[in-house]
Amino acid sequence: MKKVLIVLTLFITLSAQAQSRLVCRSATIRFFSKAPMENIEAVNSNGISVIDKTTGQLEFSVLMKGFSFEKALMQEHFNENYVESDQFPKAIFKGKLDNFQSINIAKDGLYTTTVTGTMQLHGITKPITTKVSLTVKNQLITGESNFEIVLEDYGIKIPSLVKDKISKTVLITIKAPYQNQ
Amino acid sequence: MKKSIYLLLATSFIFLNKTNAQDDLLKGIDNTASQKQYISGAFKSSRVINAHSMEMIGAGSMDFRILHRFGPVSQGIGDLFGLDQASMRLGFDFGLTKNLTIGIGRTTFKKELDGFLKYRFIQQSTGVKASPVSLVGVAGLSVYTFKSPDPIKPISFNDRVGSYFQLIVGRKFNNNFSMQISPTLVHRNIVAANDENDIFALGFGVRYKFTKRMAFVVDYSYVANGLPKTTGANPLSIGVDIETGGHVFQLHFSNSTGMNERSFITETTNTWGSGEIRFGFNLSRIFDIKKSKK
Repeated sequence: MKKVLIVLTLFITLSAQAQSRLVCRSATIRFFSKAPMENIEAVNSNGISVIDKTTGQLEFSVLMKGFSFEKALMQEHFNENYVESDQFPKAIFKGKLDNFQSINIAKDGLYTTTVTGTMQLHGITKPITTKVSLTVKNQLITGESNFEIVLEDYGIKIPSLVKDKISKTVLITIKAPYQNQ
Repeated sequence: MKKSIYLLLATSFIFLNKTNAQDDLLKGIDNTASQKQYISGAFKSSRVINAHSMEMIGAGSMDFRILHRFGPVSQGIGDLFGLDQASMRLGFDFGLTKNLTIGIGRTTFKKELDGFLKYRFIQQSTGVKASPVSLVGVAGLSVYTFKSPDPIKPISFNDRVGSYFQLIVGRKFNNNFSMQISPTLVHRNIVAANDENDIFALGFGVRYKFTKRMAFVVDYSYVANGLPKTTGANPLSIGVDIETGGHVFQLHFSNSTGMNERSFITETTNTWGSGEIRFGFNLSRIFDIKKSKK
């Protein structure tokens, strides 16, 4: 009886600790905003993301300073005046993939679902829901998504002088290749 | 027996709770905090006011700079507080790489042409291999191009040349406050009998940002020897930086009229103490010549 219990306890503990996660350390996050004066485009390929395989919980973290722009001045303005990277160094998404259990990630194929959660940017957290596609190929899972955010929602103010030159919304495109861990 | 069962169950619960408490999925994976991050935007512009700042212009950028220095404010309303007189410098700086800038300019005073090379050895950073300061070196050359007032006694090229070498150590302490110190050597090929060819100076630059796009700046140089030392006219400029998208305006009051190192470090004769201050402004406009590859 005692032995059985010990084994049982160990089993419970171990299974709980052996967290089955999908990890991505090189998520590409792009943003694009079309404006009459000039398009604003930037990319960051060092985003980090984790998916909990049992619950479908999903998290993303990206350094704002890691975004590189075509124009050096744009990048400076982005960090200094708009997202204020020194004060708010990261953008973080925390959410859950809907119907994750119904996706058999062991089988190759293309799966689509939605993700619901909150995004923290510029110190402000807002709920967000967007479509996600998961491509499974040779045990490699690639998540892709795109969604639009309104800058004002995150307290990012556009000065009146350039109000007509800069778009109020930004399209964000994400591509994240995950690996089992 | 019963006791041990409870004990085991309790331990398993503790372990379970511990793993469940790991709500933060990214824990242990998120290494972004330790990633090397460069600190930028210590100063709004590549100049504090007169002196070079620890900031560089971006790679592929051109900084078109228009500088104006007016007459003494003490001249009163008759001369519109000095605005009737103006000397100016037109300059073009080119960001060859992230850490290398070259620039040329021409000042109306003595029709002086100047050029410089500015290189950032170290950029302030956090994370792995962090550096608490930025280290920048500047070397420059200037040539008077005015005609000799005496046609039979032309001024040789050699006598027209001056040069300077500068090391800038600067740090952005927080979002608003930055400071830099810059030991400088200015060499002039020809000087007055009571002056010295090599002038040593120690520059101080301070920036305090009071809104997102406006900052208070102070640019001071302590001159250690030569004629400027005896007159005690150390160039001190106090001003405000205003950033409007692609432009940076630097409005200031100063006791110097010079717009290059030879000029403002060694040729300042006015002092704040005697009220000989002048209004001046720098206008900087960044153009993107070459777009960086992504």
